[in-house]
Amino acid sequence: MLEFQNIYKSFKNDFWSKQFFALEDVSFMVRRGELVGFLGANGAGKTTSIKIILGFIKQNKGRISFAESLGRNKQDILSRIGYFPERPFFYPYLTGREMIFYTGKLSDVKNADISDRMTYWAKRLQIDHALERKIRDYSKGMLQRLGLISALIHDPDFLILDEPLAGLDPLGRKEFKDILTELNRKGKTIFFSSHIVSDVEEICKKVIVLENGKLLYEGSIDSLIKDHIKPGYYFKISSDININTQNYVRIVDEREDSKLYEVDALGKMQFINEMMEKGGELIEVSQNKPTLEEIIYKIQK
Amino acid sequence: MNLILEIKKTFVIARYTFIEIYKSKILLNIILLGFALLVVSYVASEFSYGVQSRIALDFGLGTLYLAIVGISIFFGAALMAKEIESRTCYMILSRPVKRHTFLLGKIAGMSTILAINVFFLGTLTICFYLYLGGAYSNLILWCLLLSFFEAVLLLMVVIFFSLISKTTMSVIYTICVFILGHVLPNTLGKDIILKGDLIFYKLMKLGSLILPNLSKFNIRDHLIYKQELAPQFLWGTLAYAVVYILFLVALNIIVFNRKQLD
Repeated sequence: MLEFQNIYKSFKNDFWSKQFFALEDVSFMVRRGELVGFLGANGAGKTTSIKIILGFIKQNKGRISFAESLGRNKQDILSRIGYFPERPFFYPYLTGREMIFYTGKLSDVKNADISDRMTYWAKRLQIDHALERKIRDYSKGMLQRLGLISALIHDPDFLILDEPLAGLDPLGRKEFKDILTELNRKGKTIFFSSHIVSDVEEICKKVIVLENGKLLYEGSIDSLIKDHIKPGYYFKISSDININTQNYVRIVDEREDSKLYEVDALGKMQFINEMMEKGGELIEVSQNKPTLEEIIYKIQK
Repeated sequence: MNLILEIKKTFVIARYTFIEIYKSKILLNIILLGFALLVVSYVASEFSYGVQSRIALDFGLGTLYLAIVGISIFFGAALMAKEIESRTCYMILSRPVKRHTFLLGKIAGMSTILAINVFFLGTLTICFYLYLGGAYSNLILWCLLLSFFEAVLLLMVVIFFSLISKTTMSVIYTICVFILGHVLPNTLGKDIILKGDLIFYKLMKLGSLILPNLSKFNIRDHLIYKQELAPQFLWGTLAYAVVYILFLVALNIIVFNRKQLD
């Protein structure tokens, strides 16, 4: 669907200052039907990448290519892309309804279709009551919802969403994530940026990670986790015994009544035997399953 | 087919630009200005003897002219700059809309606002002038038309500056163009420039060649003092305005197409 090839982008703060690279030789690919999370800390280059994809800014070097199924020229491609900006920017004096009609008409959607889709999505996202209000009176969450309706009004095949979950309350976040999953199941390709790893982990199978303008990882979340963790277990046992902390055992937490050990998978039986020999009481056992956030933090270091 | 679609989209953008400006209460200000204009014209005409209608016409057209030039410069400076700074243009340019279509739509929307201003304030002025016993002349309509074209020309100038500099600076540059556009042709024409300072004279001459000759658009004195103006001059001025505006539109399209919207 999208190929981002060896992209370089530099900026200058002012005329005299030295240029800095916001993106340096970044390449990744989004395939048809994927739901891809685009991760990176603030300033990693996510929004810059999206702006380049949509043609708002030009890269210094590198190439962007879209699947032929999206169209051959820029206008055809854009008519099949739904874009949601980092902060949805609207005209403050227009009402929500006017704004949706405005963007819908520019995407060549018939009035009746705009009206039907707007009614459906506004109800689903619970802003149907506010459509006649001026956008300047909208809250942050309402703007996000209106932004999503605007991105979906022309029923695009490919959604590019820049931080769609930022500024939403927990219920709104869940609603958005459910919608993204549902759209993906219906065959839409979704590429969305976020700096909140848990959101991406929850709904995506593939992830692209940027750090300081460089590509850190591209691939499935499962293999990222598999490649970067040593399988093991956590054993919480009573503190009245001591287990020899050899190279496969580490004490992670020590309290008055219990100790928490991290044990490598290979040393599991040895640890259990020693515990039973010493008459220790097992309080809790769990698998060592780090979150994507912990892994990313680890590979960034 | 593509061209029809482009034109359709230009109209859509123009329409919503108009709605956005209209809802920002600018037209309400114009109505207030219209009433102020009536009051000022009436008061001024009361102080004159025998030429009440002409004084009313002079005040009316003058106020209208200042109003549309002001709207053109101050609203025009923000027309594209605000789109870029507040990034509302992202919502439009992420659609199948070419940059020049967007720019033309914005210009058309703003020009409609100017046209409504001219129509409303112009009608008010003419009615008041006729009420005070003034005689109708086609030159009044020409005066309104040329004021409108001057405002559109200044709109193109301010958009150009706003695309290459900051909003405040674009207003200042445009006011400079406005002043020079009126002063230079008159000054050079009257041959009162110190020709001894050749470099200064040549610079002024060059400036008058590059900058729009706005003094051509000002036919209010001819109208007030009932001087005739040849149709060739009027049509020539109109053609000059159209060509200059088209040139600036093309220049703005080139600049906007190359602009990095970050």
